Formats: sequence, C-alpha cells, structure tokens
Amino acid sequence: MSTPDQTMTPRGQDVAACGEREVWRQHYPIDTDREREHNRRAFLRTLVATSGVLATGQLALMAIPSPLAEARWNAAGEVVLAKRYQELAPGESLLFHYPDHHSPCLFIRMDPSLSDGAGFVAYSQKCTHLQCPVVPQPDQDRLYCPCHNGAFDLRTGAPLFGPPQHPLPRVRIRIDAIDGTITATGMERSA
Amino acid sequence: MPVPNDQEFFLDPNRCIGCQACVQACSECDTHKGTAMIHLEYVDRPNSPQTAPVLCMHCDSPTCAEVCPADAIKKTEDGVVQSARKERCIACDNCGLACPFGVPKVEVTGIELMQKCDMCYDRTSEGLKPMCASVCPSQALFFGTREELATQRPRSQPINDFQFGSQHLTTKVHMLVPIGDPADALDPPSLLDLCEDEDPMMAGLYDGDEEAAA
Repeated sequence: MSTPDQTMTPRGQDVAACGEREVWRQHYPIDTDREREHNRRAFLRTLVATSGVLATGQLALMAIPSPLAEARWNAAGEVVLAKRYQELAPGESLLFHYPDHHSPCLFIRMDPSLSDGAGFVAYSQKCTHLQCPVVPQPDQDRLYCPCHNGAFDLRTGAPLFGPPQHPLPRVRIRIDAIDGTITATGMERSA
Repeated sequence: MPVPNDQEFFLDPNRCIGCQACVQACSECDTHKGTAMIHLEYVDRPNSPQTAPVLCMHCDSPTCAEVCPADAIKKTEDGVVQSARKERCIACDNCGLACPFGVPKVEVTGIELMQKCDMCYDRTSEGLKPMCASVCPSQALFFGTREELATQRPRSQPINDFQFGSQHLTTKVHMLVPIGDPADALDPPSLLDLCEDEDPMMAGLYDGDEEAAA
C-alpha cells in the first residue's frame, strides 16, 4: 500500500482564493453580506426603472405628430388633405387615407420638367398584387413596389413590370382654384 | 450582531470521554428539539471506547453550500455556515453527500429538511458560548480566546487546514493537535484504487477488509 502523497496539488482548492467567482455564483453568492447585491429591492428597482423607460418611450412616440393627423373629413365624406397644392414641391408626394381610414393613398405633384402636361396624380398606395405599399419614384417616372419588384406607370397607374397585373386605382381629386386645397372626392379605376 | 472575532471554537478529540453531554445539551435546543446537531463518532469501536465529537467545522469555502442546487445554505459575515433556509431547502441531501466531515443531515432532523450545527448562532451572536462547549466536562469542545487556549493548553496547537484527497479546506473551527505532530493527508480515491474489485461501490466491503488486515 502506498501512502497518500502529501504534496498533492490542491486541485479542488476553493475557487474564492483563486480570484473572481463565476458569474452565476456572483448572482447566487454563498456569503450573506454579498447577497445584498442581488436582493428583492434591487430587482424591484430594475423592474420599475425598465417600466418607466418603456412608458416614457411610448409617450414620446405619441408626441411625434403623425403625417396623417392634419387630413380631415368634410361633411360630404370627402378628405381634405393636410397640405395645399402650392405647398407641395414639384415631385413631392403626400400620403392620405381614402375612402376609409385603412386605405392609404398617394397624392403626387408632378415635376413639370419630367411630365408632359399633367400637374398631379393620386393613386391608392396598395399594390394590386398583394397590397404592399408602393413607393413613388418620380425621377424614374414610376411607382415602385419593393415587395416583389413590381412597378406602375406614374402617369397612368398601369403596371410596368413585375407581378402586378392590374393598374393602381386612381383617386378623383378636386383642387380649389382660389386657395389650392386638395380634396379627394372618389375612387376610379385607372385606364 | 455577529459572533465576536476573538471568540473561537476549538475541538480536541483527544479529550473526549464519550459522555454524550454535548449531544444531550444540543438536543435541548428549541430550534431542533430532540435532535442533536452534534454526534460522537466511535473512532475504532471494536477495539476502543474512544469517541470524537463531530460538529460543523464552518469551512471558509463550504462544500455543502457549493453543491446546494437550491441556494439554501449561506455563510454569514462572521464565517458561520448557517442551516439550510427552510423555504429553499429541497431535502436533496447533496450537502450531506458532499461534506467531507459528514455533518449535514436530512433524514434525522424530523422535518425532512437539512439541519446542521450553526455554532448555536442564537447564543454566540449574543456573546454566549455554544451549548455543547458550555457543558463539555473535559473541554474537548472549547469556545474562547487564543490567550485562554495558550495558557490552558500549552502543548496543543490549533490547525484549521485540511486535505481530503485533492480537496483543500480551511475552516473556522480549529482542531487541536499536539505540537509538532505531522499533519496527515487523507486520499480516499487513491485508497479505492488499491482495491482489486472492479466495482468501486463494492470496494472495502469484501476484499478491502482482507487487504487492510494483511
């Protein structure tokens, strides 16, 4: 029988003496005085602070004005857009909802240097393929749908390429000759 | 209020006379009525009446707490390892299996939860001596200052450094050994290796005894 080696390496020497403990052990310490670092009060403080940050974020989001907030419905069930015609730069587009609150539409003032004659167009923003919102690209003379790479002609609303087979529905627009207010009055199928 | 720094627990198994006074006194306590947190170990029962008191050594890095899956065993700032917290203990007995001194017990406590010696924390934190130390007639269990120890037992030295196989431990409770006595290292795994039996669980039950006698 051999005698146990007395100069044996202390493999299981306590980890505390070897330096910093593992992260989980720091969270669940054996010593009661270190337990105070992760107690119920600290947990509650974290909980309340996180809730506060989230609530403040929600309030901040609510404070940001929606681009649709100023559009208003008149007595005839028509929508008066937020901006007047002369406030729109050539090539600029304006988003509004018509004929109901869930149908986004686009009013686009044409750039006279690119378009031949037509001053403005207005279409439903829903792509006729799968209702993705289309993006106006006046410099390329088209409305582009990024979902499946489809496009519509800016002047007529007719599909140019990609999956859509039907033209974008056109919105009937009335522009007041005196003050330039833009009013959506009805929907029609594009030619 | 923590246990005073200058008051320390010293354990001298040489002095134990096996009177069981500590066991009786311990089981008087209301927090574990009828169950002693200290027990007397018979060192070599067939050949000797010598006993040795076994109580919690209050390790600096307590193995019982290290292995506790429920985070129930805690050490207070004065170095006393407390009984498992009742609301956390799941009575898995990991602590009892892991403790190299064999102190924590689950099945004997009557409440099916781990309870162990906490150095009479309710007494020592109030400046009193632990019950076992105050009743021990031969003062094998001694609670006091180093100065008292030096004057009363000039031939003993306290050690609190233990080696169990590859595990190294330092404890709050000190063991008294004669001055100049070489420290022994115990290496249970290497003793197991000596057995010819291939099943380590059976080691020592049959062949081991014959080998030890030979």
